[in-house]
Amino acid sequence: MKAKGRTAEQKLMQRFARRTVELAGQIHDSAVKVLEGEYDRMNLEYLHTMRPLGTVLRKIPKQKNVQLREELKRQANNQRERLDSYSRYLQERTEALRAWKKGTPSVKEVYQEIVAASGEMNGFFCEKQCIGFKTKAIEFEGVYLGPFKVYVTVHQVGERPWNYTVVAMDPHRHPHDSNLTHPHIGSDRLCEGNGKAALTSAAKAGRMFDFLTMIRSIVETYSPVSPYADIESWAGGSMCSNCDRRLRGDEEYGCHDCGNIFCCDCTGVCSVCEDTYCSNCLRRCETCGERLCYRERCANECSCHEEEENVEVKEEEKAVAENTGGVAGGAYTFRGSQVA
Amino acid sequence: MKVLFINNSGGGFADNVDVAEGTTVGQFFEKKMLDCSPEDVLIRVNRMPVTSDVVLFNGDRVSMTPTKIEGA
Repeated sequence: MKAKGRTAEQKLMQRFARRTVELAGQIHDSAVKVLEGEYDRMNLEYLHTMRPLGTVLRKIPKQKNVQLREELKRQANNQRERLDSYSRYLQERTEALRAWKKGTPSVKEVYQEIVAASGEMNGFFCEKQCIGFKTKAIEFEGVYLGPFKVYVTVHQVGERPWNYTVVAMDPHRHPHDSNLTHPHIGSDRLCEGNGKAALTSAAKAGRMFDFLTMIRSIVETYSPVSPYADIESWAGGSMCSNCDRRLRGDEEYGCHDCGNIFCCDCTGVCSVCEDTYCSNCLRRCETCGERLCYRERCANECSCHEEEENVEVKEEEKAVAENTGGVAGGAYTFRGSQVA
Repeated sequence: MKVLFINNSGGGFADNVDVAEGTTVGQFFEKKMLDCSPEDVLIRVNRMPVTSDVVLFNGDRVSMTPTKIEGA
C-alpha cells in the first residue's frame, strides 16, 4: 500500500538531492567548457606563433638587396626554430589535455563529491548554483576572528569550473584595513599560498570534497611567513616582552630602564624612586629585601640604608658624649643623671 | 591490487597505485606520507572517515589532505 504523502524531512531530503543533481550537472558542464577553452587557446597561440614566420617568408623573394635578403633568411630560421620549440610544447600540452579530458568528472562523480562534502563539513548548504559550508570560530594567538562562510558558485575562472568567496560571519576587521577579516583573506578572497596548485588540481578533476577540505585547512591555519597583515597587528596593541601576553593600551607598562613594554605581572616598582621597572631591571636589597632599581641614588636611599646610617650617627654621638662627659647636641641623657 | 591515491599536499597528486593485498590504511599512510604525522592529515577512504586498521580493497579511493595548509 503506497504511503500517503511525505514527511517534512523526506521533502527536505528530496529537495537537497534534486538541487545537488542540478548543481553536479552544472559543474560538469563548466568543467567541459574549461577544457574546450584550453584547446581553443592552444590553437590561437599556435596561429599567433606561426604568423611572424609567414610574414618573413613572404618578404624574402621581394627583397632585392642581398644583404637584407640574408638578414631576412636568418630571421626566418630563427622563427622556424621558435616554431619547432613551440610545436614540442604543444605536443606535451595536448597529452596533458587528453589526460585532463580523461579525468573530467562525470555528473555522477560530482554528485558523490557534493554528498560526501555535506557529511564532512559543518553548516553545509546547497542552493541554486551555490554550495558552501561554515568554518569553526577562528582564533590565532589570542586574536578572535570569528567563523567564516565559504560560498562556491558555478562560474568558470581560469582552469577552475567554479569560483568561491570566504565571508566573515562575525567580522573582526584589521584596525588599519577594513578589507582584511583574516590574515589570509582580503575583500572576501582567500590567498591560497601553498594550497593553490592542489586546489586547481582538485577543481579541474571535479573533486569538490577535497577542494572544500583544503579551503578549510587554509582558513584554519595562520602562516606568519607572508600574510596580508601579521596577527600581532590585529589587536592594535603590543605584547609583553617577558610573557608574550597580548596587551590592550591600558595594560601596557614601560620599563623606566630598558624601555620595553610589559604587563603588570611582569613589572614592579622601585621602593625609593617609585618608577616602574621590569623584573630584570629590579633587584632585591640584600639587607631588607625591598625592590630597588639599579640606580646608585636609590641604592643609597634604601630604607635599610637609612636605618644603618641612623644607627651609625647615634653611635658616633654616643661616643662623642662619652669622650666629652656631657650630652652631645641634647640627643642623649645619661641614666640616673640630670642633664643641665 | 590498485587503489586511487589522492595526495592533496604540495601540488596535488591523483593516480592509481599498486598496493599489496591486506594493506591497512595505517600501513598505506606510513608508506606514502613518510614525513607526516597522522594528526596533521585528514584521511578518507571512499570519502568516508576510517580508522587506521581498516583494510584497503581493490578500487578504493584514498585521499590524504593536510589539516594545516599555509596561505599567503
